[in-house]
Amino acid sequence: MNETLIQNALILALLGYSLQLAARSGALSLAGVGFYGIGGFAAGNLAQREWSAPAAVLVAVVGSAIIGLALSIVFARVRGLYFAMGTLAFTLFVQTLASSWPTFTGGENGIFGIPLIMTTIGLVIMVVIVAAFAFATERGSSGRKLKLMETDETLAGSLGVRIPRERTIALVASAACGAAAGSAQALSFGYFGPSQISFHLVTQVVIVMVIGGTSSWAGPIVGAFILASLPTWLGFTGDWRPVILGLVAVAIVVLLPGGVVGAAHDVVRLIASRFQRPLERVA
Amino acid sequence: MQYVVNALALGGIYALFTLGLSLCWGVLNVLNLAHGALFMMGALAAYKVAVLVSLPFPLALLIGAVTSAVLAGLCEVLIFRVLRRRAKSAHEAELAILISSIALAGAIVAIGQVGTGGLATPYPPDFFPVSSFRVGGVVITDIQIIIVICAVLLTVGVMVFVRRTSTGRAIRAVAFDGRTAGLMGINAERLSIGVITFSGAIAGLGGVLYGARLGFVDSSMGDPLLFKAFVVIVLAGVGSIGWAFVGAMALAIVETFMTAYTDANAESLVVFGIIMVFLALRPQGISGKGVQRA
Repeated sequence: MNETLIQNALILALLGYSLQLAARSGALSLAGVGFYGIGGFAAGNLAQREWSAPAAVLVAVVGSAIIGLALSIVFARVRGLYFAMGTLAFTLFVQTLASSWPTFTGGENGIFGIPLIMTTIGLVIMVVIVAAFAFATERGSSGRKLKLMETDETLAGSLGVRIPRERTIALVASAACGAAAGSAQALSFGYFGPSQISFHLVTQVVIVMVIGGTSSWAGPIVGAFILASLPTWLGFTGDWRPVILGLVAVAIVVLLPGGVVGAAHDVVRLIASRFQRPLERVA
Repeated sequence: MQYVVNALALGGIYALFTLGLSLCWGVLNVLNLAHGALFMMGALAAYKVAVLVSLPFPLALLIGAVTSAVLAGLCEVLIFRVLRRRAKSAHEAELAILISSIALAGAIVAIGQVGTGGLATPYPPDFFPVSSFRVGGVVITDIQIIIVICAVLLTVGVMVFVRRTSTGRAIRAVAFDGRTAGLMGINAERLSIGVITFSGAIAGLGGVLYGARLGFVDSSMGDPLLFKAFVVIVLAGVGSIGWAFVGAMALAIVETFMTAYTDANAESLVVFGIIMVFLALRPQGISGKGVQRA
């Protein structure tokens, strides 16, 4: 594994979280890639004005979180498929805006020569912070709340879960993760352009979530590393590689609904129950 | 006046694209984001045959429509139906199908990239030799006329079919409440295959028409249309066929005139602003009756 591959995987993991943090509360938000674009252009411009990496990332993330808050107000009454499509529309809108607003985004060409001030360590720190947030919120009462919202929102509401508030938090966190990924992309590779905010990237992020599953905080990291290293494993398929990749993801949706992490959990549980049974018989 | 003609042809493409997407969504609660990819596959299939043999245009339309219809039918039988049967709730089924359709879109667009070599590939010159007429200072091309005729015929055809035939009544019943419709003896699974295959066929047809208008086929040609279709669906309301046609034409006219008289920035901002207002204030669309669809 070379360093570029690891950087790519970590950025994909952040994007994966932007999808997963919203999806585990039962709302499929595809806006993460839009915020990826906003974060990338914001951090890229700031870095060119000689801001330090932490300051540029922080401003990009906080700014996107505020836009995420505004978006969650607009989408307050929107549910299910409408919500997914609305957030996708946001992403496609950011893409159009990126290619037609040259002073900030460099137009079709994008912005070049961004100082390479993001280190791999910095990326790891960002992923760890986000993973810790995901880990912390899936335990205890907030974890139970999320599980209930994912299963049945009406029931959750009637049991006293404040759905609008939870949903706002999920969307803001999702926006922040997307922006973190975008700013990391811009500051790690020195280039950011409208071609990077695409429906193609949306499919990649969805594939990360599908491989990793939504059940565990580890999902996006596992999914991102598998997706990032698949091109080397599938090298023999040549041009057909992206086709195989998409079909593998479809197969996982159909055959392993919990993703690789969910399947691993099931296997562990199965083995554990094999070992427990004789003991129970003795007792 | 020239702008109006161009806008109507563009609106026809939007209408054809939206019709299939809206039908699946309204009737089956299937939001198929691979719709743009199916659209592209229609154009690509027609291209692949057209480079081999010289092809009359109606036959090219047929090839595009059949290819996308078969692909859409396969998606339903192999994937969507399996997910729907397994899901514990309607909401879970919707999201699982949506996610699988995004992954499918990735796979199909990748096939398109292999097919076109990743570039915008021009059709052979004899594929559709565009000829134009002059009517009172306005230039009209034959492909524009064909697009508008196809859009009008299909929209009216679907509306009449859904309202007047017994299968249409079954479709409305499934859209209203699939479970109860099943108890009444409607074979919802067979109907689903029918609706999705049909929407694939319109997507393929639209793809060939759009390709002929552009003069080339490109693996990502369907993606921008997803955004337009969503705008139309938000304005019209899910599953509302007549309003979707009106919405598609209105969107195309607004876009054409704003691009002509202001800059393109303003156009996408205005369009996005409108749908945000609609989502916030009237999520069910102009025609929306809340629960009932199609």
